[in-house]
Amino acid sequence: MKQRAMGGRITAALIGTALWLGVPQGAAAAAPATNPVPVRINADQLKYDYENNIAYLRGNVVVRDQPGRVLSSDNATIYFGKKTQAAPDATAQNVAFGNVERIVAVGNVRLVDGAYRVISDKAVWSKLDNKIVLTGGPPKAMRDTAIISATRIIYDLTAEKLQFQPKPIIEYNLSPAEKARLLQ
Amino acid sequence: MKRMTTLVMSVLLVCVSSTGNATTETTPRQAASEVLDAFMMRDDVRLTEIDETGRKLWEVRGVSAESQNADVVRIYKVEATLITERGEQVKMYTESADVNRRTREIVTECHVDIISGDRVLSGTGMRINHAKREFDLFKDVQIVAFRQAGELTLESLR
Repeated sequence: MKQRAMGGRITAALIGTALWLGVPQGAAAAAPATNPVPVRINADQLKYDYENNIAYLRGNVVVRDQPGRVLSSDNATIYFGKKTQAAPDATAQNVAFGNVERIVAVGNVRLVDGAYRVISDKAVWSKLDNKIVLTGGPPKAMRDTAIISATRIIYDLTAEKLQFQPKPIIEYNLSPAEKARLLQ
Repeated sequence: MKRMTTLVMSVLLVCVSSTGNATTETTPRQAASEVLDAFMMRDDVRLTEIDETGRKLWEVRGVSAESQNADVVRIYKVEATLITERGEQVKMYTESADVNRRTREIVTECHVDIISGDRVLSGTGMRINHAKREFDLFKDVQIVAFRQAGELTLESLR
């Protein structure tokens, strides 16, 4: 009876995990193309190549894209797009992310987006396809007590879905109380 | 690239040269040298560097300036403009900055606000290296990238 109950809990946990891996969360699908909240980036120091619009940030880099979504790292390089002729009358689409084209974050990378937490050594955030590719560490994604690692984790920001490559390795970070219950 | 620095100054400036003599009519190049050597200047100080093709590379404007030593002029209420090869302008605002006429570096320890494209960069302490076409912010860096179209002003931050 106890075994059946435990099996049920594990099955439920796996189903839950499958859901957060694969199914976009409600609001994301209907998210507007633009967001009036500006992107805020903080760091200790900056070197800025104003001819090529590249920012090299050093120390305690924090990128706040939208409420609840924060990428932090030791260092980061941010590639801004070139200003186009159409900029003063730009459509909503090409100013969707403050003209940031790509962010490469390196060292103690940590991404928090709502209930998701992902840690890795490196993250490449491409605004063209709206995805963050996390590598090194290896990267680990956490939600609640579940931890999933892989060689490479791709976070699709549009669908709010995580992809694990080549395959997910699922672990459970259990509290002593939960462990005790399982071992009973 | 061979560069020539031209310094333009507008009306009413106290222009006491380092030798204590009032300035007399001179060629623009001589004037630039004398003004940079001057002890104090008031009212619309402007430093501009142009290349040999006549393209403006950067400009620093301020309400007053004073010599710190033979090479360095401190400018107050600074509004600096860096111009890229594509003709885009990067605007900088700070309380005061030192312009080194020998190295062409502009350095400040004050808070700086910078507008570049659709983003506002700010921080404390800055050095501009014109030769490398880059600048450094030394502390408390913040970049705010706006999503709305249109020209930015510092008011966008407030």
